[in-house]
Amino acid sequence: MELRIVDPAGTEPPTERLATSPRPQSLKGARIAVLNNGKPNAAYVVGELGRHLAGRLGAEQVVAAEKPNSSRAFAAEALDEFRNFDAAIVGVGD
Amino acid sequence: MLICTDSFLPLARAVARQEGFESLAVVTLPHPIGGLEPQGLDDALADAVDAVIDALLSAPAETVPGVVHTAVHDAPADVSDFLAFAETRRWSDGLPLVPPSEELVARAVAATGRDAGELLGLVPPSNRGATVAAVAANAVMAGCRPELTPVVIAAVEAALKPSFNLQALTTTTHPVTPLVIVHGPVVEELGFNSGPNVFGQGNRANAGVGRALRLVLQNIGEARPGETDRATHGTPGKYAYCIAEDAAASPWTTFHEDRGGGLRGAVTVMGGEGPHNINDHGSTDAEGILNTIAGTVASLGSNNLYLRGQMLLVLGPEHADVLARDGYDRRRVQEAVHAHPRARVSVEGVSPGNMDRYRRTAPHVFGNVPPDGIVPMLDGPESLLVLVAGGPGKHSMLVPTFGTTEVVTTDVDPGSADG
Repeated sequence: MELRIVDPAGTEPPTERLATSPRPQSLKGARIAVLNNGKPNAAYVVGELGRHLAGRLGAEQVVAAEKPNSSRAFAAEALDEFRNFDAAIVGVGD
Repeated sequence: MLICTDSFLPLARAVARQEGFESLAVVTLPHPIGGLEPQGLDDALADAVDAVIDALLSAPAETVPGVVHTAVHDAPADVSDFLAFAETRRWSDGLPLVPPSEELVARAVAATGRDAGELLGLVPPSNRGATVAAVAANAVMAGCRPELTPVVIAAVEAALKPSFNLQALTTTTHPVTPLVIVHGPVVEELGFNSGPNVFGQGNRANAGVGRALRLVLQNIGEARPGETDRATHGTPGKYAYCIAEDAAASPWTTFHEDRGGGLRGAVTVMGGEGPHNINDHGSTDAEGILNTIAGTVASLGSNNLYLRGQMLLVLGPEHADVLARDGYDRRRVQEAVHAHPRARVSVEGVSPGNMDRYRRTAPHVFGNVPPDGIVPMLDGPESLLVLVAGGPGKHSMLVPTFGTTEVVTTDVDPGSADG
């Protein structure tokens, strides 16, 4: 026997997708942003990756930003600084 | 691209989807990266560089196929089979659920006086939509009587206010969950427990409303333990965490009046840890009880030390009576605890690594403090919310919070006579 039930999972999330800019063909000379989410060692992780990229690929020196409180979103003005960058690395979680 | 530890991959995927960028590249490092000397990460970082380069150059997929959910299902009528059915859809908190039949959900929706399709908001981290019907279905599953549904709706509306920061509350490693505080006439009207064992088991209204909100977060928000819900330990409050104010036992203006709650009643949600006991059997005056309260407020392991925010003091009626007898009203209690020398911590007890963090998260407290300085736990008297609840006995309770969250109060709708 079957029972008709109401789905408790709600409606689908908004389907709007972000439009993405073209990917860079190479990272040579690219400007790369590294965003530290405020967790311990996050600055070291993204900073070191940026330095590796600069050293191996001739990417420009990376530019870093951090959010002081990992439980809040990045400030819009902090992100605006990277509007015309070629690539960005962002940390999530611990 | 995103970078995270392998343990946090499900959350990184959820965040990417939430931002409208489902196919965003994610590179993982072995967990953990925190709590280590930075140079200990060098090998893992060197190993990850190739993957990072590939990720930065990779083109995101044009579209990502979604899973289509239908609004109603045919489910097994047999209870055991239904529970297995629910579990495969991940609707379970581990306890048995009442099948949300169309008939039961229709009665719950009718009690709200709202349209079934009304959207209350998007629930993070999935950003799925909380319709009145879906919230009512969760209320039914949690065991709520239909007339409790307007209280559940109010709790969901409150939790979705941006200042509550539900995104962080549901995905953090911290043991936090929304505490639902019910206050005003609705407490008596619907039979909430504000007396003995107020944080505990045994009352269908408290248990049902608390559990219903949790099921909304899990079933609509898809906050899933070990995946998007990153809680290290969690808290028993993640099954149900709902108390009510004992207005009759409050020697002062009620919490309901203080929060400006509406005619029928209101709910206040707070991103709380589990309650911590304040045992004071020996003191016979306000000074002694306030000393014990202040000593419980101070804690090196509390988020409130470095993220600040609010705490809740739930005074047992007997402690409240002593404070009132000695001339304390709510404001004086708040001021006395805030200024109390025991509600402070010495920064000598804070490790250098933590001080480095705290200076960034709370520069107004830790920025210029000397090495032998002392800092208050509370930013101000109003950071301590105070209400009276509980039964006979010499206990009160302190609920520390996540810190980066603000309490939100929402009125309970009058509802519908049809319910």
